[in-house]
Parts: sequence; C-alpha cells; structure tokens
Amino acid sequence: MEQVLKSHHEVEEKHAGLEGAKMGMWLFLFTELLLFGGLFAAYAVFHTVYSKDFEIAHHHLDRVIGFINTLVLITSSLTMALAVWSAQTNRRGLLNLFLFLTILLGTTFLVVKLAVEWPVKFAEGLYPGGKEFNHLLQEGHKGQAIFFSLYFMLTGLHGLHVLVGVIVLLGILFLALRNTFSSEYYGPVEVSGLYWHLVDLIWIYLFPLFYLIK
Amino acid sequence: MWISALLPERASDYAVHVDTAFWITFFLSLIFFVIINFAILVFIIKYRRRKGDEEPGAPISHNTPLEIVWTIIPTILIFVIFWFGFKAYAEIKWMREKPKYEIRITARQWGWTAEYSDGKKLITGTIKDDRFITTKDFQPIIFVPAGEPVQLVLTSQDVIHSFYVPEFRVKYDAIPGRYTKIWFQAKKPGEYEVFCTEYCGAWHSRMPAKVLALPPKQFERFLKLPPDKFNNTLANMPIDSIYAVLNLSDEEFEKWSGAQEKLLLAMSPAERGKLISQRLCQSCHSFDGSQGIGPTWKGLFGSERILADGKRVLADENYIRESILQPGEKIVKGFQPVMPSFQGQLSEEQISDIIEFIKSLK
Amino acid sequence: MEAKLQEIEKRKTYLDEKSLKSWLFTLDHKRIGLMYLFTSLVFFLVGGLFAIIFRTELAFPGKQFISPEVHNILFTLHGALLIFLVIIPLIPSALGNFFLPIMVGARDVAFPRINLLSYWLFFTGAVLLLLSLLFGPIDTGWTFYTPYSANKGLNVFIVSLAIFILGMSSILTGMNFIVTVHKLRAPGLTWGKLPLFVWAIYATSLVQLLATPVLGITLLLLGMENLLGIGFFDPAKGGDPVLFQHLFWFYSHPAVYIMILPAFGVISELVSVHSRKPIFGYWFIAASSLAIAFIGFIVWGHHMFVAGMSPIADIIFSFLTYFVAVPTAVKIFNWTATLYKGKISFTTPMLYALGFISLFLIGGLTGLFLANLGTDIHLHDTYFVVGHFHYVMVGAAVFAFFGALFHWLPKMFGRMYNEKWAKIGWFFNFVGFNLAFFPHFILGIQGMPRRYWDYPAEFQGLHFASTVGAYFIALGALISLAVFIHAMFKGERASDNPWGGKSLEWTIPSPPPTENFEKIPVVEEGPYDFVKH
Repeated sequence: MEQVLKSHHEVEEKHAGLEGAKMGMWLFLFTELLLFGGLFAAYAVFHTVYSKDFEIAHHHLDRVIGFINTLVLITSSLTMALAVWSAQTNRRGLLNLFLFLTILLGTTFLVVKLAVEWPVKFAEGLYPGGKEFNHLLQEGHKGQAIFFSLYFMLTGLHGLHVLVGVIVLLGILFLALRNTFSSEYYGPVEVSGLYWHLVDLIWIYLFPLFYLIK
Repeated sequence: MWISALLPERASDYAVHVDTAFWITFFLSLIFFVIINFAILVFIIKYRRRKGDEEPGAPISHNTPLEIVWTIIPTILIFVIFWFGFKAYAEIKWMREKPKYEIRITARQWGWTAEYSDGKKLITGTIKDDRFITTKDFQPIIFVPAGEPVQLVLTSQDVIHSFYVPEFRVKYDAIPGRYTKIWFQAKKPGEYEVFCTEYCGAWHSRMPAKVLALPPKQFERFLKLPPDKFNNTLANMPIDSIYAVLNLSDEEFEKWSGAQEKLLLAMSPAERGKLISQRLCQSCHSFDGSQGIGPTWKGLFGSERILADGKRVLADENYIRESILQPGEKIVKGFQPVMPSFQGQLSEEQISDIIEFIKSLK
Repeated sequence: MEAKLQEIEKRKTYLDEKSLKSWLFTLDHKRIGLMYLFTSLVFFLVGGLFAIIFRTELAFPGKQFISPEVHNILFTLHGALLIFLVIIPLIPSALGNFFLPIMVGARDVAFPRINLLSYWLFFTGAVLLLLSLLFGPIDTGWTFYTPYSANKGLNVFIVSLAIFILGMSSILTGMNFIVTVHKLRAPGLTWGKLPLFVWAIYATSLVQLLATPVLGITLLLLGMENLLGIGFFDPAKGGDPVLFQHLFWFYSHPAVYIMILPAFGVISELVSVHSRKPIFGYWFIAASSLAIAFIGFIVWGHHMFVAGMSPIADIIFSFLTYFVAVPTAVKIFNWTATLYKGKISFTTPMLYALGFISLFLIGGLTGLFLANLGTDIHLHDTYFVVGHFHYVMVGAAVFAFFGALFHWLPKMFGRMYNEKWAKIGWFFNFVGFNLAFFPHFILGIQGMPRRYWDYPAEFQGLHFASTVGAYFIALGALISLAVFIHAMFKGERASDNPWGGKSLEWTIPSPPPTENFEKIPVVEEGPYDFVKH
C-alpha cells in the first residue's frame, strides 16, 4: 500500500475554487438551456402546425409592454455585469449599488409581468381553463388556445427563474453589505452574474417568438 | 390453438422478409454468444487461481491490432443486420400495387370498429370475464380477401391503441386526432388474431379481435351483401355460423339471403336487438337474472332504479338510451362506473332494437 | 497480531460520530453515499414486491386475485419506483458518491453542500411519489403516454413534480462529479491513471446533466396538463401525443445509459481486481463509455417505429441505433480478454461480474432485434421488449450492483461478508433471473403483448415458468441483502485490502477516516499495475 505515496512533502490540497465554481455554474446553465429547449421545441412544432392561429393570437399581447420589459431586463444585465466588475476591482460601494439596481430592475420585470400583463389575460379569459380559452377550443381554434398555453408556460417558467435570481441576488447583496466580497473573493457574485445573464438571454429569445410574430 | 413454437405461422406475403431478418440476427447473435461464453468458460477454468498463489496475472494490458480488428468486424456485421431489417421494413411500409380494398378501423376503450366504404360495419367489444379466455373467444373485426392487398386506415376515438396481427408481422399505433395506415396481403384463408398493443387502460388486455381472410368466392359473397343486411346478420354471428353461411351452395345461399330479407323483415326489433346484445352487452349484463359486472336485464325495463347517489329513476326508453350513450351519468347503486360508451358505434335503429329486446326480458 | 487488531479498532473512521444529526446534516460524501444506498434499497424491495404480486396473478390465465385496475397500478409503480428511485441513482449516487472522491485522491466532492442538497432533493422526490398514492395511485405506465395520462388529475401532477425534483437531484450530482474529476485529482493522477469506474461515472454524469432537463420539462408540461388543462399533448385540445413521446424518449433513452454505464465501470474493476490482471484495452474501454454516452442521445426514435414517425426518421434512427452496438461489443471483448492469463478467484464479486457478462450479452444482442426495422414492428410492445430491458437493467445493472456491493463492503465497513451465503444468494439470483426472463423472449416472438393483465390461455406455460423464476429472484435478493446487513454489523474483521486492488481506495484504512487520506497522495502508478512479489 505504501508504494503509492512516494512523496514526503505536504502536497497542496485541491479545492474547487473559483474555476471550479464557474465550471459548475456553466454546466448547470447548460441544463437550463435544455430545460427551456424542450419548451422551445414544443413551440416550434406548434408554430409550424398552427401558423395562422399563432399570428391571430399574438395580437392579444401588448408589444409596448413587452418591449419595456425587455429593456428592463437588458439593463439589469448591464448593472449585473457592473456589479461583478465592482467586486473584482474592490469597489464595495458600487458593488452594493449595482446589486441593488439589478434587484430593482428584476423586480420591476416581475411586477410588470404579474401585475400588468397577466391580469389582462385573466380578465379576457384567455388562460387555460378560462372562458374565452375554452371558447377557442370549442370553436375549433385550437392553435390559439395552444398559443396562450405556451405563453403562460414559457413566461411563467421564465418568471420563476427571474424570481429565484432576485432572491439569490438579495442574498448576495446581504453578504456584500457585510463586506464579504473583495478582489480576493468574489466568486459568488460572478457565478450569480452568469445565472442572471442566462435568464436575460432566454427572455431575448422568448420576446420575439410571442410578441413579434409576422 | 394457434400458438407456434416460436415465430407464428407466416400468414402474410411480407412475413418471410421479417423472418429472414430475424433469423440472420439470431444466428449472428448466437455465434457471438457462444464464442464469448466459450472463451470465458475456458479462461476461468484454465486461469483459475491455485491455492496460495498471490502472484498477479500476466501484465497484458492491450493489443491494438486485435482491438481494431474486433471493432471493425462488429461494425461490418451491424450493416448486414440493418440491411435485412430495412428490406423487410420496405416490404411492410410500401405497397407494390394499389390496395384492392380499404377499411377504416377505429380503436376505442376497449374494442374496435371497422367500416367499409359501402357502409358495412363490424364492432368488437371487451371480454370482461374473470374466467380465462382463449383465442376461440376472439370475434372477427374485418373480412378480407385472401391473396389480395388490403389497406387499413387506423385511428382512435380516445387514447392511443395499437393494431397488431402477429401472424402477419404487422403492427401500427391507432392515434387519436390522426390517421395512420397499414396494409397486408393474407397468403391464404384463415383466422388471424388481432391484439391491442399499446397500453390503453384497464381492459387493454381484453379487446382482442380476428382478421377473417376468405377465399375469393366467399369474399365475393360478402362484398355483394347489402350493408344493412350484413350489419344485422353476419356482423353479429359467431365465426362457425359465418363460415356455414358463406360456404353454402349458390342455391342455398340465395335461399338464405332471401330468407334473411324475410327474416329481417319478419324479425322483430327485439330479435334483432338480441343479436346485437349477445355480441356487445352480454359479457356484463346477463339476460337471465344472474349477477354480473353490470345490472341484469331481466325485469329491468319499467323498474325503479336506485342510483349510487340515492336518487331514484324509472328505467324507461330514455334511461336505457342514455345508459348506452352516456353510461357515466346514472350509476346504479352497488355497481362500478366501468361501462364504456357506445356513442358512434350503434345506429339509432340498433339502439331502439336493443331497447325492445330489453323490454322483452320480463 | 492482537496488538495490531487493538490498534486497528482504535482508528478513527467516518462511522464514529453516531448522532442522528451527524447523519442527516453530514457533508461527508461517504455518509451521503450510504444514505442513498439505504433509501434505494428500501424502494428496491417495494418495487420487487409489486412484481411478485402481479407475476403471481399472471402465473395462470383468467383472474386470480387482482383486478385489471390494480394490476395496472402495480406495473406502473414497479417501473416508476425501480427506475427513478433505484436503478438510476443506485451505483452512481450510492457507490459513486462513496468512492469517486477517494479514487481521484480527494477528501470530498467539489461541492459537499450541494451533495447534501442532492440527497435531500432525492428524499423529497421519493416522499412525494409516495404521497401521490393518496390521490389515487397512478396507472399510466412509467412512460406516461398521452392522452391517457393527460387528464388523470392531481395524482399525475404530484408524480410529475416528484420526478422533476428527483431530476434536479440527478443534475446536481452529475455536475458535482464532473467538477470533482476535473478539479480535484491528486497530483500525478492523469486521466490515463483514473480507474475505469471513474471514467464510467464521468460519462454517466455527462448524460445525467444533458438529458435530465428534458425529462424535467416534459413532465412539468404533463403535470400542467393535468393541473391546468393546457393541451400540448392532447389532440382534443389541439395538442400532439407523438410530441410527448419524442420529448419523453429524448431523456429516457439516454437514461438507460445512465443505468448501465456505471455498471460497466464496476465490471471493469471487478474483472481486473479479481483476476489480478490489468484491464485489457483501457483506452478503448474509456473511449467506448464516452462513445456510448454520445450515441445514446441520437437514437431515441427507436422506441417509436410504429408510433407515427415518417419512414425517413424510422430509417435514420434504426441506422444510428446500431452504432451503439460497436463500443458495447468492444467492452465485452475487453473484459473477456482480461481473464486471459489472469489469476482468477471465484469470489462473489467475480461471480456477479461473470454473470453480468453473460446476461448483458443476451440483453445487448436482443437489442439488435429491436433496432432492426423489420423485426421491431413485430416485437414492439411485446414481452420481447420486457425481456430485453430486464436483461440489461437487472441481469446486468443489478448484478453489477451486487458485485460492487460485496467487492467494496470490506472497504466501507471494515468487515467481510459470509462468502458461502453470498454465493447461495448469487445462485438464486442467476438461476431465478434466467428462469423469469428468458421465457419473455419466446412469449414476445409468439406475439404476446406487454402490460397485459390477462392473456389467452394458450400462452400459459411460459408465464408459469416466469413466475417461478420471479420467486427465485426474490429469494436470491433477500438472501443477498441479509448477507450484506449481517456483514455490516457482525462480519469478521477484514484487512484494508483483501482483494489486492491497486486503485486509491485500497491504500486507505477500512473503514476510511472522515478525511479519507492522512496526506493527499502523489500518484505514480496506474490502478491496474498489479505487482509481482
């Protein structure tokens, strides 16, 4: 047994470290791409089958609000990137500011979605189980019903990811306020940033598919 | 008893291609299986560790040329196997000539309906017995001519089912919301079992049927029969009687046909209803008062029914009609809500006939 | 000798701390591995029990004692529990967790807290699955084909949620293992010196990571169909039942490689150690694990040759499926060649390894019939398929598990199992398994469909034989587990390296200390460099 341990020195212990944490997050993000990928695949299939119905149905969505929300999320990606930069360059005050702004923008996105957009659909009965929705099924406009089902599933799952991101960032902000991060240790900020950028990226694909169909 | 030792009888024209692919795969597999197991057996005996021997085995860790060879050989062999499979598949998928006849098959929970273009219709149902069944209990779902290509258009009215005829080597799913197609040519006359082969719920294992392949003359007779006459006679008869009728001499057949006219006209609605009920209803509803999965029909008509929720209703014509089309609406106390709906299976006339028959069971 | 024994008894091990809290909140990969092991074994017994019940019903034609509804629930739960709670997690999450870090010379996995989270997610998923029974046990088959499963209600929703959570556990474990292998290898431990078990777990983790999310979204959508009435997979609501099948099998085909790749890794270890010979063709075996992982992703359509795909799709999927046979065949040849000029001991682990090779050969070869476009049309959804997958999932994967269990038992607990009774258990497992499942091939070829509560009486003989085999398996499994439990508590003290293995786990004490290594080793030899004395 002893023949393996030829060294007499203390060997440096390996840790996952920042590189390991980033690798782990990239792997996890890949799984998120596949998760949404399945939904996007379903969208692709149904769009092909029901192209006319999708075109009709998408007029029910407000492009302006959707565009505003897109801007909100893209800006939040910018503030997140700036937060990571601040941590890397030891700018603790800016780190707190940019984290706070990201959280604010993320929350704005959620509020617009849940308190403005979705309630409109609920009022119109255009949700699974809603009056107008059932009407569409009965009248043979199944493609439109599928459109709204896809809309709620995709924006819902995405919104859930935004919510989780906001909660995680609140945790990061809490730690930042206690001076946990510096140019020596900023891994959690960077890794959270990666996650946040993915959430933004997914929305950038989602937005045209639902709001900008020609 | 139709069970073969291994592969069922080759009853369709393309079955031989399937079996060829099967046997080639089998023998190649057998060769590898024997070689590997033999090698293992030899090695474990020859190279077993003797008592007290703590030395390691020979330090042979690889042999690249050998490994390359035994990577290439399987690669070639799989192309061979793939090729024979593709050939068989092509025979099954693509018809060489246009089909002579096309039949529409609709699967449901738990039975089949077959419709011909002239309106002839056959229905098979669920065998809900506790006792065991044999293939003799299977009812015909389609009549086809032996020696001629027939196409089936499949669909389902509820969940996915699958139409499988082992002796033809053909199978395809019956999917709700779309149509799928298969074709076959029966080599010779005979009875060929049909199984549902996609899990579809409680009675998935008890919705079997039969393909009845007929010689040309008998099939001609079948073709020429007017649909409503067929639907009211041969469609509901046991297989032996079907053969008996189709094999009658020309003269006798004319007589029977004429008699059927008269019989049908003479047959009371109740008698017509009895024929249908024996085929589709008797497995659950007895006619003589005995216990079954469903309430007995003896004394049913005009009686007061106590439902599961305590309500009381009168068993009149409307009640019976609703029970046939929407069986879940009113469940009699003490029985399970397991009756399938016959919506789309029975015509209004058939439903009336059944009601008349039930009335006759005092 | 007495003094040495006393010294050994005084050694600190990972088992010393006995409080419940120290187990439930442990960050030690070895303890987490054991928790997975015992949770899975419980469900192994439950799922097996269900099979005994419905095999008893199926021994004779006609109704024996259970209704078709109960039968359908039993085969559904048998599949769902055994696949998601036993076969998929068993070797990777139990034995992989225990041994991967040690084999790469590390003190733990890359993210120990995420590892603990993985276990509790697993436990939560298991509990939710059981909870779903309160809402009416599901009877959809573990494959959940729509529209049958689309309108069932709350029970399917809860099961979908449960499996989604189990999937999250699987993904996090896969991620953890990949980072561990990349980042925590001890100095000198190059990729070419990794035990093949590590290569196998690595390949499995890649598959887990990439395939599981698709199952997640598919079941999420199915759950939503049942809860909210969205209609992606129900034609009555504009949906497509075949789309469900594509999405489902996109995961579930790679899933079968999650089930078998770790077993392949185990066999490489067992065959080489118990013949005290280097594994033959190390690089071909390592590469074949990766090849199988990759090919596994592009063949899912071979489950759907009669389901409504276009002929071009049918042909492409069949053609690609055949490619998986080549790396698999290579492994079989290499394991067999490892025996050549070895010094073979007939220990229980070796018996399981030899059993594996035979049984996996049959399982794999019967796969050729199913990949074949011509014969699959006849054999799809018949008992032939059931025979095929039980040969690979039980005959191969479960046998590999038992072999691994007895191989590493001395290391995990510092005790030896009873060789005689372990072999008796093996015997009943081996004979019982063949008796239970070989008839399935014949039944399938004869045309017997699967998932049947009852069959025409003409099929009876082979069904009866199969049921007898099932009882033998039950006996074999119970005996083997009893041997294991007994060894854990009352087994004779084992030496630190009873088999003479050369991978890193055999260089540390049995049972290992919590930190695995006193000093992180510098590795200079390979894991199969058996030395002459």
